[in-house]
Amino acid sequence: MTLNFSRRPIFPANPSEDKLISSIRIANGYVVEGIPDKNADGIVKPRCFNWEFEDSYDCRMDRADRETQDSYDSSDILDILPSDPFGMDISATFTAITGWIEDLEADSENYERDESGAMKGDYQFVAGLNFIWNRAMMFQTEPGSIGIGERSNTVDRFDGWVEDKEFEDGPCGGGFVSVCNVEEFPSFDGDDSRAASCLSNMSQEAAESCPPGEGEAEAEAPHEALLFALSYLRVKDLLSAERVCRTLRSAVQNDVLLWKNIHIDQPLSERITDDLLVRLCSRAQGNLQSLSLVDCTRITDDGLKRILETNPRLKKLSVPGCTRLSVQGIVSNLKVFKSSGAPGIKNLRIGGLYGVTNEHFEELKLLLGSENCQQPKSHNPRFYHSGHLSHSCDDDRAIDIEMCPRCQNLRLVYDCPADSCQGKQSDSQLCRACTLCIARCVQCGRCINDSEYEETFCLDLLCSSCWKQLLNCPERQEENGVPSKHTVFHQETMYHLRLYG
Amino acid sequence: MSSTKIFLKSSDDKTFEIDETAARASETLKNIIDGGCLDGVIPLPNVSSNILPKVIEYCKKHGGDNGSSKKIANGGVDKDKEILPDYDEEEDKREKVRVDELKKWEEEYMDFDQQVLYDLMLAANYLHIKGLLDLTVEKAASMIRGRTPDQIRENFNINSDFTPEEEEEMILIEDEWDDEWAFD
Repeated sequence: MTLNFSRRPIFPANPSEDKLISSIRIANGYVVEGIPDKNADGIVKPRCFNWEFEDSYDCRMDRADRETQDSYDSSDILDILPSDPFGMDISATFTAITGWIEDLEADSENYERDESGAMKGDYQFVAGLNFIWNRAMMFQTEPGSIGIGERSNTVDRFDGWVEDKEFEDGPCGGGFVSVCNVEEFPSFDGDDSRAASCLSNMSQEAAESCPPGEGEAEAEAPHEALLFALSYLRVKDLLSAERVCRTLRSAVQNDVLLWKNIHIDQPLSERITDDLLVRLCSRAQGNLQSLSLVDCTRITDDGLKRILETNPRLKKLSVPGCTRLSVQGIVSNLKVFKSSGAPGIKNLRIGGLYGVTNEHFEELKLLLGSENCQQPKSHNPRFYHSGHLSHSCDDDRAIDIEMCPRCQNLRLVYDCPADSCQGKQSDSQLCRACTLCIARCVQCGRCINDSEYEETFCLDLLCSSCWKQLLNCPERQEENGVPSKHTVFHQETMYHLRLYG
Repeated sequence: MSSTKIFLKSSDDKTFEIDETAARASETLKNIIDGGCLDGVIPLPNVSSNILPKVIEYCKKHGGDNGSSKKIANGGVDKDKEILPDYDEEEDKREKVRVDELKKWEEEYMDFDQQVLYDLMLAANYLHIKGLLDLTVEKAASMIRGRTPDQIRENFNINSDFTPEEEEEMILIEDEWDDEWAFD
């Protein structure tokens, strides 16, 4: 139907149309679902996404160098790829399309090797296809480049590529299109523009209804009410918001109140370095009051020193799981901090820090203020929970670690929420110790010495009742914002809990 | 239920009626009422007539208790209660039904477009209705949370007004940060 003017002689023996269509579908299938089709026939193997490295294409490459220099120079398409690994954006669509086109090219060249003489028509065919693709893509990118201004880097390169191609294909592609117009590719044109539109985060409607100029006029500066929302965001989202536009950037960067309490956890915690942290803390303009770094494994004693030097009003410091901090470093940093005339840290959270000796502990208590050094007798009970690290600054004790009543080591000590254990009054029976002395359920915090339990993939323990509860009520997980995809595997469940628990 | 009626006048001179108990959900109105400056109609020059009914609807639902929407924001279930074994189960059930019902109501209530959301935020702020402010701002915040700058722009129809140089710089910073943005 669509291809019956010059391709007839080129694909004589094979069911060429079927093949072509199936390859189109696969390309689209990939675009939409991000899953390469295993049943693809020879045309679209996964190799089409890294055709550059395929030896079997050597001869094609030679020819390609002559014929379509620019399209191969555009190996920077591969540079674009990592910026968008899950195919969420137009570049992925584009890569898939390019892969498809190249493959088709290669494919038809295979034929060409068999039947020399049909070369001209064949090339024209591919070029024509490119032309159509480019047109389709241009249609999508024009509005896209407005919406995706922030990625202008990508978009620019991308546009440039298209222009190159179009320029190059123009002479021979024109003839093709005049014979075989776009409507004759209904399935692939329609499908793809749909896929492209949803992937490029631009609605098809928007693209169609407003030409670039209008669209620009329609998009506005953020509404003033939007600034209310900033105080409800966490550091990671603030960092996204400040890259949206100038208004938001200045609102985020200059509002001292947003940075008075800085809490950093997943996923920033793995990436934040001393320099970046210092920069973030400086936004509080010296008003930083509480700093909480959960599992920030790149923060060093030196970084902490710099923070303390520039933020004299810091009162709460929480560094659980910051494995590059040493207890000596913390002690000496706090000493300097205190002697510099600052009021000093009042609440310190160093749970999980290794090698804390009695001397360190005494010194820290002294530094935190002698009036607090005596742990109040009637303390609030503290229960073990997988999410305990994130709200460890909530209670008002000066320091989180204490001497475990059983092993006498300085660790996080937990109470037991179980009825049977809370009744016990005498110290020797008290269900109160570090997690090494008394194993606890990661979910409810009860001791599981006597009862049945499950061990999760992360080697955390779950008591049998929590375990059953997890298996039986997937709705509860949804309530907590966990995806409804419920699974019975330990590790998966734990994974969800760890992330959201 | 007190039957004292209070009249509110919107910015475009339309008058709305509200029970005094409901009006007390707003700190601003409460102060006016308690201050005894109540002579007939309270003018609200910052709230238009298409937003005011929405505000009144909220106040009617929440007249007197400001804490309820907070509970909902926490996922409807108080975490401590789950851990502590000694609570009244009956009470908890009734509470849960109430919270569920309220949650459903809020879901329906919050079904409006962005312009209304903005106006409601401003009105809630002006009238000091903490519950409503939490509710609306939380909705706006949820449209930012976990999104890339592109997605935020799209959600709120915001144009990037950065110069190419600034964007270049930001991309560099981003590389420094991480490439995890793409994984959200």
